[in-house]
Amino acid sequence: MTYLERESFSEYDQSLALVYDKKYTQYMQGTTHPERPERLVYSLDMMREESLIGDVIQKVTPESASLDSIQQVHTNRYLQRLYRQSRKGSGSISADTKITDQTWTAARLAAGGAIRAAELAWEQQYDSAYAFTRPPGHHALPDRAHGFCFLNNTAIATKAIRQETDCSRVAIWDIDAHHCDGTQRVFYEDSDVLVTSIHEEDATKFLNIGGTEYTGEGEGRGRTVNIPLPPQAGDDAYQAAVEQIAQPISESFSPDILLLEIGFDAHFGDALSQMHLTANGYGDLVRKAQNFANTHCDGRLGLILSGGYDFTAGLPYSNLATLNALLGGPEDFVTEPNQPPTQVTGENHITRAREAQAHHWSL
Amino acid sequence: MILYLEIEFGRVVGALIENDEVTDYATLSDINTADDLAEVLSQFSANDRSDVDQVQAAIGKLATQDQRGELPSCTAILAPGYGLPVETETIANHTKSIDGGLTPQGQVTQPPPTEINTDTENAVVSAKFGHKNPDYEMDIGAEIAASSIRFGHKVSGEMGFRERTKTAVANVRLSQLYHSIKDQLKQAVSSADIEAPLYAIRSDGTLANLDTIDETPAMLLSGVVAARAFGANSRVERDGAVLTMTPDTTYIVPPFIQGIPLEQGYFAGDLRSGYTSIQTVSVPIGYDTPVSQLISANIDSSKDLQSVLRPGDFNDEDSTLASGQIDNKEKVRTELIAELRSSVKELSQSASTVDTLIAGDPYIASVINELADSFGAHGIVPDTVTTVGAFSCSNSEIQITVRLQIDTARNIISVNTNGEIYSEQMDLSKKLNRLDVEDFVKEYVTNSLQKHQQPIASVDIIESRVVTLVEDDTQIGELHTIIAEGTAKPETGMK
Ligand SMILES: [Zn+2]
Repeated sequence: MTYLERESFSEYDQSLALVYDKKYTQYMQGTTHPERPERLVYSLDMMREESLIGDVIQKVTPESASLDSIQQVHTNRYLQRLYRQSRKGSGSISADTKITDQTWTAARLAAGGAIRAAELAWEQQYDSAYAFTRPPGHHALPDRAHGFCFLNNTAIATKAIRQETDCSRVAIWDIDAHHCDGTQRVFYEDSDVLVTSIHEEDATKFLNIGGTEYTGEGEGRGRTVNIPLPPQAGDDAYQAAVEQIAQPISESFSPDILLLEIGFDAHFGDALSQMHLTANGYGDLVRKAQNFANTHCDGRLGLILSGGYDFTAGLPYSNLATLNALLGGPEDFVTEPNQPPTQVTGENHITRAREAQAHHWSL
Repeated sequence: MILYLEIEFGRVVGALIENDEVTDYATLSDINTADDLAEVLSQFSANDRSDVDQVQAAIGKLATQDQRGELPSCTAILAPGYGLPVETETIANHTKSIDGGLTPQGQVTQPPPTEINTDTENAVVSAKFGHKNPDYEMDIGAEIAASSIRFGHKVSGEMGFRERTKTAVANVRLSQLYHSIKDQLKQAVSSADIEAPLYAIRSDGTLANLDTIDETPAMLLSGVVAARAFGANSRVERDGAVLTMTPDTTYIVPPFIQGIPLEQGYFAGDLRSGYTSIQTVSVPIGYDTPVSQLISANIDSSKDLQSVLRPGDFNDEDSTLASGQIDNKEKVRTELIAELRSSVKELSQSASTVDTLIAGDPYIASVINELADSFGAHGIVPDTVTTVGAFSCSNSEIQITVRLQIDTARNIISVNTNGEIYSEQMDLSKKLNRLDVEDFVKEYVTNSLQKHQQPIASVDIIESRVVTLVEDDTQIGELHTIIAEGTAKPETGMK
């Protein structure tokens, strides 16, 4: 069927590796838990229905992250607890995050997917690489976790790529409705990893360390950039946050690679946030990341899937717009069944976030 | 004894094959009716005919009619819905798009119009995510006054919206021609006193019972090329690219890898089909191509390439261009080789190095050595090259792809195969508790296909997905989607 697929999409001139394993759709926290296999299943249905899988997008199978690579981020004590509870078949590491007999294997395979995507992005065999994985990772701290996360996929991939290759500086853009408290904690004192998070201001409640005042410590001073936006912030607010803060700071930081942790729970249809991004809004953000990587990182761009729970609408359409952007498709290419509600621009929030960075970066 | 038939415009090849050897063959040109076809069969002895216990037909006419632009047109009523835009105008001769559509869960966002004006014989109704809610397309179909309608959701397999729709268009446009060939074939076989099961060779070289593909004739578009490529490969026992000529097109089949061909859809003419098909590179020159198209000067344009190349009376020893009858045959030859050369070169650049070229018909046989020499490659003409497709027969299997949806909340199983859907109500919760889903599916597919006269020896699960069905935060069941492939040896014996 490859020819037919190619024939349909003459505008797609970029190659993309989708790091994916069928096991990502088999792991469950519970049949009604929001972090569920359907998050990927419906999105894969969408890719199939739009004829993107196969010749247009190449699937790449990941391997489980090695113990050594996850130990670079997580404490032994925490890993032992995770392993033991998973072996036992039950347990929980926080109120919303349950452990099952699949957790240990699934979390390692997700981390392995993130590593593979970062490696592929580094090697540049494809124009970009996307870890289409679950469970997500950005709420996993070195010694504990919450928010449906167990192992910090992006942090593990960041450490791995720096160890395996001559990549020394990594920029992470975290665009999920929730603050990446885990990732921030891992790199809070690291001068070579820039962590930028755009999130809903109230969605930092877990540890509440997503305010603009958190900017890094010690050698990591100025290497943490938090951009909390108000509820109902939409495409314009996110664009402004990237253009006015994430982009210029990253440019000054001058990374070797850009990792974009993308969560589709800021879509207007998602029940787990109050944000109003559209599918094409996600596409535009991905395009910005792509342009940044092309201009400043030799084109090295890796994506890692984070949240997104409106699995029959917001998630598959946002994911589709993401793929469209990565493949080089036109802007505003995706139509959605539901109309977006009104959005707020969040100018004051952006100004505050910019001011908080003013003594670390010239903006 | 197997009777192999290659049914082309203007030419039919029949061969009897037993123990992997062709025991007799017959060819006839100017074939149009069942009587003509019967005449080919009458060239075999009555004894041999009564020994035939299986018929395998490769129907080249379907692809040729398409390449000649002579198929009836079709109107597609499309609900492209949401997601990526669809270039509807490339899908069928005429298209109408409906506003609204289906969500990824199959919910209707806007009811379709109740009056749809179509002045058409052949229609296709296809919606994005149409397979998630078959009623939607059926409701639209009920509003259309066309004598023949195909539905996107019924196209077998796992294609995306575009491929599914284009394949449905191919099915409906080929329908009339397929039925007339099928009728002629049945009539000819019966008047030749052959009583044996009839199979058609599909584009991937597998077989289908002639009566099971009424809805999906696009599965046969590359049947002749597949038969010849499999036959040539099994005959020479060496990996190489097979080149073979049909009336309007020469196909170059990339070397098999350990006996397995590369696969793709069909795209040699106007039609597109997403059904599994042997991979080819096509060159628009065939044995009916007017020579004037090949070389513009000094040639009598009324003569076609067939008369230029004239491979004797399909006598293998004489099947060379040297037996051509016209003065500038060398020029024709040079032009032909040059055309093929550039395509083979392209292939060897994109695929692995092609170091062996195998002739898949008598026309190509006459130029294969010279062509191969020009690459420093090895050229091979299989013995009995005229009937090389027949050597695919002994190893052919019937293969059926089945898509099952098992809804344990509504207790419904629907089976989609060969362009048809069967649904049945069944208490699934018990069954699925008792048996592993895959074992259940294997047993179910075997039984259900047997009910539809399709014997199955083994079932492989190609893909299996499941979503949890949740209502008011409670799990009410599961929806399994399973793609299974059933394989069987074709039946032999008198009917
Ligand atoms: Zn989130």
